[in-house]
Amino acid sequence: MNKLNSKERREFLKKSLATGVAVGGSFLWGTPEILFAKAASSGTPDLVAVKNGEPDAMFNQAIFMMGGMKKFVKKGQTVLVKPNISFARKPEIGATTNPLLVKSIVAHCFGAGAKKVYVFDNVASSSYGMAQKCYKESGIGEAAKSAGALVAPGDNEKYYQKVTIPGAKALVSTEVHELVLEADVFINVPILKNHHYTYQSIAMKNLMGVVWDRMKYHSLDLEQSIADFCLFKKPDLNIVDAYRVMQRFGPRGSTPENVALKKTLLVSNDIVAVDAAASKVYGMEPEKVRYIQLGHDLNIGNMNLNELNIRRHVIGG
Amino acid sequence: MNLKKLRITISTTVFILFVLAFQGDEKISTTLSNTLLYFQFTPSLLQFIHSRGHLLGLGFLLLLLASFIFGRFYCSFLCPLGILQDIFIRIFRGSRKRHAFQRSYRLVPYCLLVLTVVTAILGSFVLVNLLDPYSLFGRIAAHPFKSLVLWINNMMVNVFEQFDIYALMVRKQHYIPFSILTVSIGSFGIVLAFSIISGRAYCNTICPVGALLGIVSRFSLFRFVIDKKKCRSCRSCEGVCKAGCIDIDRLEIDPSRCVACFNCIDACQKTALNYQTQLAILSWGRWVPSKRSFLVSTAAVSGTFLAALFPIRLSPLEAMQRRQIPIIPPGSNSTAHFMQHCTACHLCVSVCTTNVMVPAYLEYGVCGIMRPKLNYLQGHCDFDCNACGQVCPTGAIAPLLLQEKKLTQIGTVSLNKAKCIVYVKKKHCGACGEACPTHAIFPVEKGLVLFPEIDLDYCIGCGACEHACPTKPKAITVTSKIVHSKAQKYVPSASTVQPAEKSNKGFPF
Repeated sequence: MNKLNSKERREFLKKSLATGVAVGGSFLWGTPEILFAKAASSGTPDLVAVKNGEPDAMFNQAIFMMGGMKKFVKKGQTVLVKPNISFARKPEIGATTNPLLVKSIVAHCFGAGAKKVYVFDNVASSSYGMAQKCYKESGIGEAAKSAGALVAPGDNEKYYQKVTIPGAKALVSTEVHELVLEADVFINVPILKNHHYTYQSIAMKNLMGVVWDRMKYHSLDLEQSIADFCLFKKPDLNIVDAYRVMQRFGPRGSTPENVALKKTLLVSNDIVAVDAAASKVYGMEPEKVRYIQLGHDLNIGNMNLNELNIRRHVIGG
Repeated sequence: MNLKKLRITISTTVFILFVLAFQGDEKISTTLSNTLLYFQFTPSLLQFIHSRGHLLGLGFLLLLLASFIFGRFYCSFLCPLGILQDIFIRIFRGSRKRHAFQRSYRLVPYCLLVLTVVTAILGSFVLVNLLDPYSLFGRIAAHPFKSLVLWINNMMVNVFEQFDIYALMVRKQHYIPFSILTVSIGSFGIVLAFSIISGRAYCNTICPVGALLGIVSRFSLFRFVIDKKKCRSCRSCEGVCKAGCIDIDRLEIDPSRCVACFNCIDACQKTALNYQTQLAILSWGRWVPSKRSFLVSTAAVSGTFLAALFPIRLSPLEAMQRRQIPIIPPGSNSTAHFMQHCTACHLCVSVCTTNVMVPAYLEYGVCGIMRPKLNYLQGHCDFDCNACGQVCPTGAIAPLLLQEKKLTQIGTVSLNKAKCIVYVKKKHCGACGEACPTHAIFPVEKGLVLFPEIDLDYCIGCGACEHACPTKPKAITVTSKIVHSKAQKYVPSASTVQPAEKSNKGFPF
């Protein structure tokens, strides 16, 4: 507990110092608009949707429309990229995030001046030895490493720290991977896919892979716990891979025949909005996916897409 | 060529390979299992008996033939337990403490051999599992040795992680029941004590393989012979003979106890000792049938037979309830097949990628002491893995092709709806459904809640659901199948998935 307190204090000092420098710096520079950019409707969009391109090309376009990676990653920062690597399946099955997208994101982080980029996932199968297999089979381990990321393990309890979640209705406390607590920037990179028991797995559901005991979610109240976790930590950026969208037999998937080629990418810093939009890309009304509604009710984000500033782009269209 | 040096080179290599085989790397273990374990006596013998014509059985025939020619070279060149003892002897006795001629207690190893064979024929593998030198070594390598290696590995991971190096991964120790650890460390201790006190006495008094090869070696073509004209009785050879089989007073070497280590030839300065062809001189005649030894022999032999019948009666598998019968790995076919083959070497335990394979102690009854089973509290049987069958040297777990394995039913699942979260709380869970690799568990929507249901035709009993189930005790459990069967292959109904949407360029929001 003591350790955590000192860590929080340090974090607070660091953050307030950084904010102070940023504010002061921008005034000196004479462009204070950047601080209030969100207020302007023509400024940063709430959500960017790109279509009809390869995963990396779509990401290049989307992050440009979001205002560039430099807006999210500052020089010398540590970044955590959290893809969905939950099953030992090939990318064609659509059960895991597209490796090319992960690679592209890592490259952009370094391009923005990141000091270190970590990639990890606590895979769905809790049996020992599966994590390695998932990293390998999904192609993400290799792809992330080739872009210079540190592929960290998530399959040991020693990496996790207990945290409490104020305001949670079900998941009052859980153990979170230390990288989530330590990284300056947290980028959530889920894949949009079918899920037998929650209807869909997107961005909020993907955060189940940063805690140690995911079965606690299942035994408490799966959807409420998924929403509750976002009270503890909201990713700085959510990048939803909807290139190949598994339509049936999720989350594990069956064969490539059950995958629809949607070639879509969604980027937002509002985790509820991005889930609502992705849900529509899948072909389901977001109201049916209970955790999206719960997230909206907890004020984690806005699921009413018509209230948001959405920018759309169709490559070659 | 110095035969002693050759022996040391070969045996050291073999030993290192054996230790490596038990470190749990699937590729290394499979390769070594197909080469090195080909020439392990008991596994190969079991293959030879149960599946005549099987290539692995050939290894046994070759070994037997080679022993008729070269004597007990197996004990010095190929037996991992023998080599382990040689290492102990080298470390703890060095060259200071000299060996001496030992009296032969022939009755003990032969009675043990007969007892082992008879109990095995009657269906109890208790002595085979306990005494087979390869399996005995396997348990030492798979538990204490591997634990040590993993501990070193995990310490290194801790150090490397400080420097952001993730080349090594934390490796988790497989579950070892205390009883199994006691037996492995205990047998390790016994072998250690034997080798320090009296060289290869274990191999010549307890080991049934040693006893059998000893009988064969009495008739071997090549043997160690002392040239009576050249020998000055300096006792150099006796001092280095680990088996204690050189009788300098009679200038004779007991071929049934000699393990062909070539130490004596190296030690003899007068070249009075030779490894040469010599026809066997049958010395049965020396046995003088005194009243006392006749009584002892009769008592021993009849005791052997009576004792052989005894272990069968102790908790046989047939008397067990179905729920208690352990789940055996895919490829082991049926409990009966598994009971006739496995020697409890635990190579499968060390190689299992998910650590689901654990050694049981008496769960198969005394007959099947220390055999492995699947424990779904420890893990689940990975759908895309068939490692255990690939490494098993006895044929207890037959090697299955991955597509065969994926349809092999080793158990049957059952869902207790009185405990299941979804049925009790009417809240989504899906832990079992998302783990199920075969579509045996599927969702049924009733009033906006998705309930899990089971289709047994597709269930292979891999335990992914049981391992994942968050309730305590588990709501979904797997019971073993006495005889494995074939599951149906899941064929999804016609796909409703839209193909690539090239025409639709807009967004649904």
